[in-house]
Amino acid sequence: MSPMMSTMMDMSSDLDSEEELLELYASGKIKPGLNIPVENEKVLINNVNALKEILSSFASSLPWTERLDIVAETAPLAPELSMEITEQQQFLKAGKIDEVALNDFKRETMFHRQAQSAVMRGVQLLLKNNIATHRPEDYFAEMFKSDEHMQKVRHALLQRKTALEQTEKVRRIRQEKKLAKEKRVAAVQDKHKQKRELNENIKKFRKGLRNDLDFLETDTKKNKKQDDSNGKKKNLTKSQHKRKGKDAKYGFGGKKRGIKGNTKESTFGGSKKPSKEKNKGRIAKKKRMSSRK
Amino acid sequence: MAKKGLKRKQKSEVVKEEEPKVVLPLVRRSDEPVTKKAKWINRERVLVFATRGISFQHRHLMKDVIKMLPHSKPAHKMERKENLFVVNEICKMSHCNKCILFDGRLQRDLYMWFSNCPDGPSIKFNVESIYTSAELKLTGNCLKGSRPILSFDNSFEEHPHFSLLREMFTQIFGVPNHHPKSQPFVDNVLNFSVLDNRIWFRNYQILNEDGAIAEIGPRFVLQPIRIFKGSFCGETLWENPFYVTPAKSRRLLKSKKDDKYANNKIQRKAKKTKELLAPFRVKPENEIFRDGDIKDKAKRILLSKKK
Repeated sequence: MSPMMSTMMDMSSDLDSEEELLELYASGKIKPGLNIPVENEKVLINNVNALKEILSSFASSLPWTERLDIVAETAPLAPELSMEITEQQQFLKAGKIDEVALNDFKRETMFHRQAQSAVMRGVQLLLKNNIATHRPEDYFAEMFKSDEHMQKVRHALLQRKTALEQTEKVRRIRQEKKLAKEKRVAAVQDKHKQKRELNENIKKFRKGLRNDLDFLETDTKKNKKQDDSNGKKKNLTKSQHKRKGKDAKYGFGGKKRGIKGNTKESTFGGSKKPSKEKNKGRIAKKKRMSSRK
Repeated sequence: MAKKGLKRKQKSEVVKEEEPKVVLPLVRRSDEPVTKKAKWINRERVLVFATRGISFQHRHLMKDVIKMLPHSKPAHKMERKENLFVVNEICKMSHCNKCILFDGRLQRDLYMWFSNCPDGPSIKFNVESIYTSAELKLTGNCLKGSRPILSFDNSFEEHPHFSLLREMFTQIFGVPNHHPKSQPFVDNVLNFSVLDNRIWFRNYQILNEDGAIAEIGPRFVLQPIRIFKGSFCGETLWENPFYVTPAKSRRLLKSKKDDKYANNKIQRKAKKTKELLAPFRVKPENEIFRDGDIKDKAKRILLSKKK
């Protein structure tokens, strides 16, 4: 607060006397409608001549082999990427520097490409001047970064890779589960739909809206077909085949009670077939007996 | 048997032929020209040190810089009380003609001085977005003390102050040829590029000769503040018009937040009043009390109903 107060005081003391105000007006610091002196903007120093002078005074006159400096333009890129790069340069030209400076990827690629072009030109110059760029494989010396650190880097890379793989795997499994669930739900719905249709048809039949019972057959046929296809698909063992055959021959499941007992039809001769067969059997027996005699 | 003997004789003859190549002449004439020893011409020495008050990260960056420059010399941390002009004497005592001073403030802001020691110029930078090579997990690596190629942006040629900076960087970061602590191979690039009025420093390894590179680290950004004619003294030759002190930028950020709170409050109040005034929010039976005489309104309504 105190500095502000002091400035206020200063200003009030300045502006109190009319003479001072007149002086300020004369010097152009005060204009009509403006009663606080405006400081001119700070003049920034850029002494180009002195800069050039001092540069020439301390510049070294050593040959390039001692200096190894290169002014490099950014290296050209593959055509599919060059579109992006031109866009980048347009941004730079338009003064939208933040677009590049704040975008990590764009910025780093720019630097990378500059370094690349420097390398391409520098290596040629180095070879011309007989300076080695590659060390022989059996040349061991202390490195900039220790082996320990490089091990850490490798470990980090590996970890990242495995983490990526893990997430990929988890995602895949999740997707598969989702698909499987969809399939299951669809199957259940299909089943329900069939049942509903069947019930509706039966109702219609009962009410007399429908005379034929085709829908039952089609259903059974469909089921049979499905069964067949399923059967074909399954690789049955020998014993299973045998079982299937026996089932077809003798029947499978169902009521076992009362099959052998007499029924109404058998006692009152509703159907002649069984009796005929019995008779045939008897005739055959008689024949056999007679033939023996 | 005679044949075997012959073979042996032949072998021995071959060995005899090779021998004179290996053996050096025992006598050497005095006027014979001596093979030239490689000369270490560039006697650049750089003093790299810091003031008290640098943070651990700044210290690590300094260590990285020292590692990169085999022609550098370390020094004790300097007391902050001393005038920076003392640096010239420190350099003189340690026989250095270049100097990098890491000037830390409040363990938070870092300034770097690059200076050509006895007689200028010197440059003050503000260092931003520092990442040391230890904290960056980059795959590149190079020999310690190998000579780097120094790559400069195009804009280092366009502006006089940048060309001055370029000369300074080449003299400081260029490792002298045949320096005893250096390695005789060129396997990394130091990349200086200008973006957003700052100089971005990157260090890459040269993987092969057709331009494949991998970054090594460290990374930092130098924002030039002033160029002085002398070394840590003298008149200012150039001043950065875009420079905002870190303290000021922090203050601005903070004040923005203050404004945000005030604006929020105003907006909330405005919203409330708007809600109160909005007709569709008010109950229809309360409409009668809004403005005008209530009795008149009631009479009018009754009349309209009668009609």
